[in-house]
Amino acid sequence: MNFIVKTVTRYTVWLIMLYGMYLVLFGHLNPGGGFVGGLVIALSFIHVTLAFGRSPQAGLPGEAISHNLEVAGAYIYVGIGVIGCALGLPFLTNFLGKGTPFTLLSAGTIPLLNLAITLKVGMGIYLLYLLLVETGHSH
Amino acid sequence: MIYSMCFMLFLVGLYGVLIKRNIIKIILSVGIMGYAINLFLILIAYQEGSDFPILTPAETSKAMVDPLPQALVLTSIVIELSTTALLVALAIKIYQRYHTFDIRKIRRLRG
Amino acid sequence: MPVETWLYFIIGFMILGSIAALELTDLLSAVVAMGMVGLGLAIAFLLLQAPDLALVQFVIEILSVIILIVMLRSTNQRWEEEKEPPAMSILKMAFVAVAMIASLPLFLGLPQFGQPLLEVSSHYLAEGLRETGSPNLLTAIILDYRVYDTLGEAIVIFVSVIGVMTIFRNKRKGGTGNGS
Repeated sequence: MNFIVKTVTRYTVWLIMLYGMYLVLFGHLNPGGGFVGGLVIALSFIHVTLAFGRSPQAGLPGEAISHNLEVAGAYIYVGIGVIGCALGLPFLTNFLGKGTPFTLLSAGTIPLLNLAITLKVGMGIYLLYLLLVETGHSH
Repeated sequence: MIYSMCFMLFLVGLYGVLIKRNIIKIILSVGIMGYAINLFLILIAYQEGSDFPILTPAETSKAMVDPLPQALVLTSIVIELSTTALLVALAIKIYQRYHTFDIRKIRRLRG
Repeated sequence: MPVETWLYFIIGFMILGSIAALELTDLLSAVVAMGMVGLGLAIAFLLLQAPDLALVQFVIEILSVIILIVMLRSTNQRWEEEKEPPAMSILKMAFVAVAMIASLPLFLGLPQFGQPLLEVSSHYLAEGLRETGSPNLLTAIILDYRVYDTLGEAIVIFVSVIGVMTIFRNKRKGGTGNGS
């Protein structure tokens, strides 16, 4: 890409990623949540990839790391459920305390599950994009 | 009445799946059918004069729309994207092997 | 204006956009028209009081347009050359028209637009904040009441990633044929 796209990307991609993190962390209070937060974070990665190409200077996760992160999201999700089982409750019960409503640390396991979904969806979509682009170039 | 307009959108997608021969057009048609179904579920959930289903500290109880179809559609939209990605991967593979997007030409068996 | 009027306008816009996406012979223009349809759907979600869905639909539409353009670039196909013979397409269009006419009575049995049944959801709306502690009731449903649903969704994404990896595996090993 040309110079203008690269410069604009350098200054705006942090804002996109910050917005994604905001959507994840406040997903139980505002519109947002794990799905859209993960997608916005994946979109910020894809934005860098589109502007700079897959150069190693960008420091983006490769296929192996993003696949590991995606699987880690699934393990966190199931692990929270298994902890509930260990406490004698049904699988995936909201076992933590509910806390005060309308504050950041509330709603029990919902923020943790949001984080797991973020890893799962965001890294999954980014990995799909990487696979599609790579085979397109190799042809 | 508005439901049948939504169904017309679905039928446009069905028309594309039936008539088009290009794989990209078929992928677009499947996407349009998915849009129509999501829109239909949300139309069912809408309640006249209600607010979105998010509470605020100021008003902890108010008239709200049905949140259950919205929750189902939220997962369905994300699944649609991964389905599109899978279809695109299949289309790229078909193109690399047969060098065409025409579904009639790829019907012949080839190694 | 009431919400219903705006919805007629937007759904009509979406139908026109999808017909354009299907009939244009330039595939890049077709993909862009498809993106237009998806953004119209995001606006419809906003009007129907679903801000979470509008956000997700907006981002998903951008991503799917990027993915489709990546496909067009990697295959270098820009024009649609294939056409169905006219007799066959008239037959299929007649089938679609019959399906539309035959399904019109189906929608009379549904509840009126704007008056849903709210059988299960009335419990969620009344007790959601107390039982889950989450003011966003959508999050409360997908991550507390119906958390298995989200687990299944995560599995679907995982299977899709595995599927794409499997489809492209033969290519990387030099096309030996039986990849494993």
